[in-house]
Amino acid sequence: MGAVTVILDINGVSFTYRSSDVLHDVSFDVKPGEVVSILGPNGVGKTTLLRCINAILAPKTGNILVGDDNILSLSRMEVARRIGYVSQQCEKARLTVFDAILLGRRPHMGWSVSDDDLKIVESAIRMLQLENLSLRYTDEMSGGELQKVSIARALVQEPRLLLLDEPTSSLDLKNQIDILSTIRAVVKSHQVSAVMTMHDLNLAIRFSDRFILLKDGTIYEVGGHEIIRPDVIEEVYGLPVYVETVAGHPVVVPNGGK
Amino acid sequence: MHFTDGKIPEGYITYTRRKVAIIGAGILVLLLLLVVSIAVGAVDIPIRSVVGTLTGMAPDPLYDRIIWNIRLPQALAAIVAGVGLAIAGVGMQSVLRNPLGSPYTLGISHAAAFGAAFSVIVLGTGTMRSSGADAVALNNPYITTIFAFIFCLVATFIIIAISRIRASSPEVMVLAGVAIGSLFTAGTMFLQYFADDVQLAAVVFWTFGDVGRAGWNELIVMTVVVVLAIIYFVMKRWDYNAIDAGDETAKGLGVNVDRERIVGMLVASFVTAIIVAFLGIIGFVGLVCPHMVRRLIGDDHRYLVPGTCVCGALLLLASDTAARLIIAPHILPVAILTAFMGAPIFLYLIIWGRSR
Repeated sequence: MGAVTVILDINGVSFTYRSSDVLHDVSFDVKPGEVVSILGPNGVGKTTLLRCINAILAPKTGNILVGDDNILSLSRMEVARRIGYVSQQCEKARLTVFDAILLGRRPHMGWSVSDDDLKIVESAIRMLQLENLSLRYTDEMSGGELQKVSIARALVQEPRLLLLDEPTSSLDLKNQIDILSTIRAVVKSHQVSAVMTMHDLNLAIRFSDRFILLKDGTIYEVGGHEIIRPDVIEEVYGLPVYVETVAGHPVVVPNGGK
Repeated sequence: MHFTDGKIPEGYITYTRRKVAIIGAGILVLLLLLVVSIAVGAVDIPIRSVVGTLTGMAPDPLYDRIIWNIRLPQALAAIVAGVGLAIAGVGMQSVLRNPLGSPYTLGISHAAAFGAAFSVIVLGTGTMRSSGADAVALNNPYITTIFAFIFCLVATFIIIAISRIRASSPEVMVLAGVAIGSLFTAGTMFLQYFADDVQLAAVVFWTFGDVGRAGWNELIVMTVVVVLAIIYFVMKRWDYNAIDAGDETAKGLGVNVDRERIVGMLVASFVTAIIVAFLGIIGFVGLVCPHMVRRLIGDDHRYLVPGTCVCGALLLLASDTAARLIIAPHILPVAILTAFMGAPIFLYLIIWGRSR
C-alpha cells in the first residue's frame, strides 16, 4: 500500500432521489493518513454521499474510485474488505459485544473464526475501552456504548477507508474526545483514511485534517483549517458565527438565538 | 491496517464452549426421548427391546414390525418436521427482523394448506382409506406438495412486499399474517363446500397436522429438504448476525441484504410447504422454538440455528409422545397439542416480547 497516493477519488458525482437532485457534481479526493469531515446543514446530502461511497446507493453520474477500483464494479464483499462503514442506525440484538465486533471480521473470514480474528477483536475492544462489556449482550447497552461497538466493528474490518456517519452523536463529552482521538490515531499510524459526517463543528475542526463543506447538494468549499472562517460558515449554515481560539483550539461560536 | 497486539480472550472461549455444551446436552436428551417415544403408546414396549431392535443387537420379533413400521417412522417424522418448522421459523424471524415471524403466524402454513386442498379436491390427488389414524392417503403427494409450495410462494411474496414498506412493525406483519391466513382458510372452506364427502373428509382430516401420517418415502423426501435447509441456514449464520445489526450495517459488512431476505424466505417457505403437504398444519413450533433458544443462548446464529433445530425436534417429539398418551388408546393429532401449548406463549410474546 506504500505507493498509494489517493485512497478515495470522487469525480462529478450526482445523485437523484425521486427526480429531485440530492447531490450535484461532487468531486474531491482523500489521501492516506487523512481525516476528512463532511459538513453542512441537515438534509444537504451528507449521509447520501457516504452511502454512495459505500455503494449502498448508486450515483446517477460520476464515478467513485477506492484505490484503483471503481466502487460500482466491486461485489458487496469486495467493498466490505476495503471500506468500513459506521451507520447512524445501530440495532440491538441478544449478541455479546465480542460477537457483535467479531462480525466485522466476516469479510475476511473463511468457514470458521481463526485465532487471528479473535486477537484482532480483542485488540479493538481494548482500543475502545470496552473490556468490561465484552460479554454483555448489546440489547442491554446504552446508545453510546452501542456506537462504540459499531466503531470497533468497522475497525476490525481492517479497511483502508473508514466511513463514519455521525460517529459521536450518542457519546458523552469524554467519549467524544476519546473515540475521535482513537480514530485519528489509527488513521495516522496505519496510513488509512477516515471520512466522517459531523454536526458538531468544533469536534470536526479539532480532529479533521480537511473539510468538505456542502451547500444545496453541491460542494461549497474544500480545504484545511483555513476555510473555517465566519463568512464561509455563515454562508453554508445561514447563521452568523464567530471563530475564536480557546486554549489553542479554534472554536465556532454561533451568534444567533437569544 | 492490521492490529497485531491482541491476545486470545479466555473468557470468550469459555463462554462459547458453554453454548456448545447446551446444544450437546439437548441432542443427548433428544436421543433418550426418541427411545421413550418408541416405547410408549397403545402397546408398551420395554426399553431394552426398543434399544435391542434399533441397534440390531437383540431384535425382538414381537415388536419388530411395530417399531420399524409405525413407531420409528412416526418418531423420526416428528424430529424432522420439528427441525424443519423450527428452522423455517428462525429463518423468517431473522430475515424479516421480526420476532413474531413463523410459517404459522405469517399465514404461510395456511396458504400451503389451501394449495394442498386445491390439489386434493380439484385435481383429485388425495383419497380416503377405510379408517384409522392414517385415514388420508395422498395418491400423488408430489403434485400436492407442488401446489402447497406454489401457494406458500404467493403468501411469501405478499409478506416480503409488506416487509419492504417502511416501518412495518412486528404487529403489522402479524396482522398481515392473520389477513393472509384467513384469506387462504376462506379459500379452503370454499373448496370444501363444493367437495364430495370423501374429498371433504380427506381435506379436513388432512388439515389436522399429524406426524403419524408419514411413511418411509415421505420421511426421506422431508429429511433431504430439511437437511438442505439446515446447511443453507448454517452457511448464512454470519449474514443473519449482520442483518440483526441493521440493514445498512449488514450491507457495509458485505451482505447482499435484499437477496438474502428473498432467498431465506423462499428456503423457509419450501421447507414449510413440504412439511405441511405431507403432515398437515402444525402450528407454533416455528414461532416458539427460536424464542426458547434465543432466551437460553442468545441471537448468535452460529448457535441459534443448531440450537433451534434441537429444540424443534425435542418439542415436537415430546408433544407427539404426549399426544399419544393423553387419551390413549386414542391418538390425538400432534397439531392440536402444539396449538394448546403455543397459543399462550404467542400471547406472551405479543405482550412482553418486544425485544428479541
